[in-house]
Amino acid sequence: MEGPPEPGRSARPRDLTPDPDRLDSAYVARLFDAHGPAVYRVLLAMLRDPHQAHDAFQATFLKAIERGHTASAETFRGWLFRVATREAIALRRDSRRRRRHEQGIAWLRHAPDATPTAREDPLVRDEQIEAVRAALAELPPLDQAIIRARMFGDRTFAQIAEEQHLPLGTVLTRMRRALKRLSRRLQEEDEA
Amino acid sequence: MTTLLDDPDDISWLAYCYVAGELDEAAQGAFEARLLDDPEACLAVAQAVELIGACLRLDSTPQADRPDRAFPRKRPAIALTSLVAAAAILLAAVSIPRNPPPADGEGAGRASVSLELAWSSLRRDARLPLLDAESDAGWDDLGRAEDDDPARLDPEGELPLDPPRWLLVAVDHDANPGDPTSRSPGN
Repeated sequence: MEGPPEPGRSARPRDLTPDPDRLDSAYVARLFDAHGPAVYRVLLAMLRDPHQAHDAFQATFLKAIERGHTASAETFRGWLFRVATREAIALRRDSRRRRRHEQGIAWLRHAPDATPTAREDPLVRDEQIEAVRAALAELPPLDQAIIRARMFGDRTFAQIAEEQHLPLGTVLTRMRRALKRLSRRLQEEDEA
Repeated sequence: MTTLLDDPDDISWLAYCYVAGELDEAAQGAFEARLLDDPEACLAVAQAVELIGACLRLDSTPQADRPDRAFPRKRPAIALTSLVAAAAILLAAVSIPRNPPPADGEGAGRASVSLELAWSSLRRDARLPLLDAESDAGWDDLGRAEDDDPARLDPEGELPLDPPRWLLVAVDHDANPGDPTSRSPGN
């Protein structure tokens, strides 16, 4: 007598035999909920185009449905990232869609504030914006000035160094340190 | 000399440089090759997108009404305290000369009581705004209210999932490839 299917493995439609070749819908939906936002952000960073990122995102999760059973639960996130990055690179190679990889951060400013993931998950939540605002206010004035010049003023680090009469290395070190602090606060907000 | 990539082990910084388009073509290609096999690098990129996205939205998002810990409302409270104190002292100063100098101890007592009342009123009034500004009680209540939300009590994914329609269609079709109705669940 056969037992119930393993968690994450689907039963065939007309009997209870576990189908080893596919994942069940509830399990896929849970994976989608857990990893979807991060996967989408990676795709957005690689493709710099929300439409292409959506296409690659769908292709990634369709592959997860078809072949996700080959990955263990422990390694599934890595497997999903690998599929997603391959999809993104393949999409970029497509000659019909080939275009110059956008530089700077303007592309992210114009990205729609929504992800294709569940439950109206925005690209950035209001709580995250407030956490970054608070962390930015706690930075030393010079670090704030560097962050603002790079993020809001879209200045290059060389321009910032010149304007602040600082060596380029100092600007880079301060920027790196400031980003770490902002990132830490953002992660605390995510875990709260 | 410090350069952008003087510490290739700092994956968060590399991810920021990648997302912000700071890398040249060769470095960008090398980083993307790393993304193919390094989930931690992918996660760092996702976090960089989140961080830069939040920074970019700072300008366009009005600050929330919630008081910011970085800027506690002490200054307005102190200003209000000073104003109340000045008004109370002025009131006391104006009221004293109108009372003729006491011939006996009773009058002196009344002036003293008047000053004490003004001072205690000043302290009571002045303390209120400070307490209001510094207390977290109101926000604690808000926090408790949020904690009561079942959605926050269950971080383990027991919430009803709401995957997009294309995902449901794909899963259903994969389960019943020969069933034409499986292409449109819910119809």
